[in-house]
Amino acid sequence: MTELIRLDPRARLLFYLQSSTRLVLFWVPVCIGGAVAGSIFWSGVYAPMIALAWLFLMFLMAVWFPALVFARYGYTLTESELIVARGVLIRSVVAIPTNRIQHVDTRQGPLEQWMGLARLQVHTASGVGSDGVIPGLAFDVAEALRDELVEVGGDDGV
Amino acid sequence: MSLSRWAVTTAFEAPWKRLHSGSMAVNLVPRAYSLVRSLWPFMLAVAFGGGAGGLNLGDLSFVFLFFGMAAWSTFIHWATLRYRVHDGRLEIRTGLLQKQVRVVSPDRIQNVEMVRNIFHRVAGLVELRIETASGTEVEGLLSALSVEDASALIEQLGKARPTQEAEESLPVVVANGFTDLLRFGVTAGRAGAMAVMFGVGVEYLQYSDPERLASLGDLLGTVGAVALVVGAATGSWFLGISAAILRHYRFKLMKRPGALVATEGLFTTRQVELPLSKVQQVTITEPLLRRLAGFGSMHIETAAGRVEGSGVAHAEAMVPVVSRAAFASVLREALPAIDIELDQADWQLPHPKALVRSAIRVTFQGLFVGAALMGWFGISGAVGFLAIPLFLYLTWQDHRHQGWLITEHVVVIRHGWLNRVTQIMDRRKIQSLVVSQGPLLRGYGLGLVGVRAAGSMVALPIIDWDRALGVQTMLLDPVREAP
Repeated sequence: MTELIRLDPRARLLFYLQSSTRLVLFWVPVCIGGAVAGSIFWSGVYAPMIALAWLFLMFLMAVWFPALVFARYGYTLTESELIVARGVLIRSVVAIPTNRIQHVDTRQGPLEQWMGLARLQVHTASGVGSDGVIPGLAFDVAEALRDELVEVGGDDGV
Repeated sequence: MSLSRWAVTTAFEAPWKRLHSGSMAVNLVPRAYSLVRSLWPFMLAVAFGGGAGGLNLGDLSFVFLFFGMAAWSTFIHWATLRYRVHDGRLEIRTGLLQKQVRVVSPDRIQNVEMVRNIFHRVAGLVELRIETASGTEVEGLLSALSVEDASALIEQLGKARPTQEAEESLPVVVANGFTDLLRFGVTAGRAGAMAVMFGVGVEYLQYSDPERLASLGDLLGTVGAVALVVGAATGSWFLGISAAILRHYRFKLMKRPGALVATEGLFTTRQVELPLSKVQQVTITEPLLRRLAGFGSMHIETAAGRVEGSGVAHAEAMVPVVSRAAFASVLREALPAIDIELDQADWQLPHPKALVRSAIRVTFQGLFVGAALMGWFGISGAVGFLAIPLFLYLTWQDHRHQGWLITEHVVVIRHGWLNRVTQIMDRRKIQSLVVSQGPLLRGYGLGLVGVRAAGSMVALPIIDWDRALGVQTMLLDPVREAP
């Protein structure tokens, strides 16, 4: 297989920040709410214990997963295809013929804007939200890749 | 845009046209029905909920509310929709508060469908559905046009059809008569309809006479219970037959240069034209009963898709009954690229370890079923564990009947034993490919290949990971060679 291009090194920090944000803003309130509701309607002992165990599991995931996600992500642009490899538990290799590309988006959330990174989303006519997603690219790299991909054109196969 | 082009487009502004004034009359009832159908659990609650008998004022106000909403949306649709063909492209303007102008280029049109429900036919109108490959809705829905306006529009878009007389002289690829549809309806799986009928019956009894429902078991006895099940099955069969005849009455698939034309329907007639260059996939479904009866059904799909019910339905012609002997010939008409006889195909098999993986999965499912039944019914629920050998047998049969092959022009995938499905996809229509593996597959060194076309995806049976990567590379060859 062709050698993959790795994400920008700053993407590792981005993934850590994203998973920490998810932990604090989503899982902590959910677990507190679940523990309170469970204590009222079920058991004052087991419900908080289960909620705490789940929160600990999510904490471990937030610490452990981002580095693996970063390590497993890679892409390459050959003469005729964009290939994206990713996944920790479920690994996948997506091949998108460049002449099938309908449009390409570059997106930046608040964290990405702050870090000067961008996410590239490649769309074909397959109707899947986005066939290939590459997060954690330096903004100028994402823009250059986007421009290169949309310029190809050709038979879109529909 | 060049200056000369600007001058041309502004010199002649094609006038906007509107829907026929009979739009309200022909669309109100179908729109109200589709609204009620999408909210059926709520309507059931209105009909059977509460303690008082009959429809009370509250229930009636809900019914009026539904019809009011349908009437309003029908009116807004008629009042705000304008269309025209301008600069060679179809333009449709809609919306009251949220205004939208949609421009459709004729070369992106996947198919044009003419639908006439019973109200359209009485009023001499037609509904035109113009679909492209993007999104999950009908991109150009003109719900009430006079036949002349519809024909003129189709001609302007360069999608002109032959006249009805000429159409009748087109060569017929498949025609399904009343007997065929009877066979199709009888063999339709109606377990879901049976469950709904049974549920509504119980709900009605509970509502009208709760004491009788409580003593129903004693009243019926074993023979009565069997008779009830047989009655429900018979009723659902009649339902299946009626639905098949209503929808597919006088089904005909005809051939004209470069396209297939399908016509069908008793009260609502439907005519769909599928340009052969747009056909991307043909699916043959052969449930066990139909296989035993020597026939299957064939779906011919283009890239156009729209939301229908709970999923995305593709613009397609569904041939209800194709005899096994005619599979090859119909397939060749629908997908001229096909370069293999399926009956003589040398099928590639899934990896043997895939069976182990499936067996582990269904064993866990069986354990879950047994445990759940024991939770509800106590020790007698342990009978649920018998599901495990049944699931294992079905898995083994399914594995035995899986197969795939790749020729120069098509990808063919076959799976299912109780419900055998054969999918044939034109390789030139492939949009992207994904090879994936979860932890269990990784342990066995296996992988899944998903082949995506516009709006649909087929998956090869599980194979060796390295081979899956090789298949991914090889499948893209004709796509790379495309101009």
